[in-house]
Amino acid sequence: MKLLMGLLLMAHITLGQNTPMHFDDENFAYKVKQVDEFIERFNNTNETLIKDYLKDRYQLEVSREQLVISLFDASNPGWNREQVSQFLEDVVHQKEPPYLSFYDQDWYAKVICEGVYKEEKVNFTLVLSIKNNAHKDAVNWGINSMEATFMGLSGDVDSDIVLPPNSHGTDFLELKHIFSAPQDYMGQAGDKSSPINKLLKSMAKRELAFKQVKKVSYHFMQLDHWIFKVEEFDRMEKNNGWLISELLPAGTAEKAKYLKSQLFISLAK
Amino acid sequence: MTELPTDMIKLKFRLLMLCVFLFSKGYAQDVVYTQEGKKVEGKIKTVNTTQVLLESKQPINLTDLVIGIKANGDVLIPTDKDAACRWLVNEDKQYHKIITVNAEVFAAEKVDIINKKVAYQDYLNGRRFVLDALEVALIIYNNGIYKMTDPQIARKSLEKVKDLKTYTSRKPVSSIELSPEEQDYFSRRARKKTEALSLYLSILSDAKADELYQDDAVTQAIGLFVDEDRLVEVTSLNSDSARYYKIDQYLNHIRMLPYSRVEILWNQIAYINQIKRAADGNYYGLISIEQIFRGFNDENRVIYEDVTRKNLQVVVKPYNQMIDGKEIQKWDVFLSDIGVQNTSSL
Repeated sequence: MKLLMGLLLMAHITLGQNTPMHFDDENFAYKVKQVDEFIERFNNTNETLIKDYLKDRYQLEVSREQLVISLFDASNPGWNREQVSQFLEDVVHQKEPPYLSFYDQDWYAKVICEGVYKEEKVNFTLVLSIKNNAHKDAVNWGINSMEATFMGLSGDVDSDIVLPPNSHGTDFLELKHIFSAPQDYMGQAGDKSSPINKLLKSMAKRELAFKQVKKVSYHFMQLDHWIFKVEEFDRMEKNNGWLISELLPAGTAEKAKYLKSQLFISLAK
Repeated sequence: MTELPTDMIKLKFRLLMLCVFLFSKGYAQDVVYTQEGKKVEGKIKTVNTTQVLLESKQPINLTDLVIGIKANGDVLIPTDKDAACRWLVNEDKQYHKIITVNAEVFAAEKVDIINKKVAYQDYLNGRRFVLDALEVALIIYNNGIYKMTDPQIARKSLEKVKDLKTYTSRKPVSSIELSPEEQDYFSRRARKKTEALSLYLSILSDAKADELYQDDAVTQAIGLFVDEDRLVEVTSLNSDSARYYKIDQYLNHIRMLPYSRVEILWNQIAYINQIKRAADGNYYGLISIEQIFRGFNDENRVIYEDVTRKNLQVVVKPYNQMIDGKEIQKWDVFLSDIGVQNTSSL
């Protein structure tokens, strides 16, 4: 506990959490601007913007521990400190510490979309993950599962629809392109019973209209014993951008349950 | 004491020569290297069947000639045939030329020598490549300055070169991520394109700007994008609803802003992620930037000011360009969808 308090304090000083800032380079340098940058900081990658910035401006070196701590949403008073401390032990202090990879399969983007269905305002959720195409040496986002309760749809999606690997940077604005021409994508949306096919068909029939992406969160499940959720916190503080909002200890069974209940996935792909 | 193997000694010698030659500048003047290892500087007047004649210098017998390089980049090398020597004329002076020990000739738009590596942007395909300095026999820059490791090696290599305008082009390795040099190059191109977009936005929002000038800015701005269907999504912390514009609509929206002029100041820092290859063969990246937007009234007073955050998708893709009647494939960065967030009024 003492260790954790000390670390949090250190991170507060060196990475300046919760310090209100006016617009300047520093605030932007601290911001975790993309999920790619989140992964870089989590892994303490050699050349990261924040490390270069702190080195150039303050001749300051930061450790992986400090970087990982700075990735937690510091505005949340409800953190279970023992859990966070155990997480740091597992992530930072192991002999062979774990790292995240953008190319991993076990992290998911949960995209809550807003639409209008038969003149009623509705929400539906798409869950996307990284699809590696070893044959083409390529990577894309693909749709894994979805839920649209107003149409009675929920579950795994078997679809060939792919989005560019940078789609997350604009909160999957690419979906606007797809849903603007649903008939062009129905051929790639699996068979007629596929939930995404039904969704697109409803859009093609003009029963359902996509309005906007309302919220995006990322769910990282590739670390042993842990699940954590990353959300965007947009505020004029140093502790801003894509940060850990939830941390759950989870074994295999808990992970399967989480996949089903939170991400509508019955089988991990 | 164990003796170094001959190959190792040769390698060490070449590395030493690299330090002496490759990283030192050859001035743009005529120069002749001889078999005795001399470097004779002086204007080459003419070459006859037996000698190289230089202004105010002793003639050099062709049997002593290793290589001659003129200030314009033309190269003189001896041959075993009757002609005794031949010129390799440096015709395409708009490009730097890299001649490798394997007698490849690369036309390069940009050459950097760092840590015994020669990084260049291939003129033919626009991609970045890196050569080990030991692979390079001679570099002729477009201003006539040259660099080489060893005149004898350069000569041997050039003996196999037909001319200096038949270029080789290496195919980039197909991998999910670009090489660090390519990542660096295309990141800088992406930043330049976002800055160009910002400039056009400033022109469009300047009420005093000429209408034709603004029309031209619209055309130029659209040309920065991968296609005209790209979207700009504008969100605000003060509103739940996003607004979507096609790129031409967005440009016209900016044109209609009720300011006498606007000022867009850039944050010094931009974050660009690792650019990755997608199944369509193109590479996709993401640049995050922050700007201050200021709108002025007729009296040049700031009437609106906010921080604008932008995430711009970029696509690195090939495009075809006609050069000298030949269609050549080059790679460049194009802008794609943009997320704009007006965060807070200052």
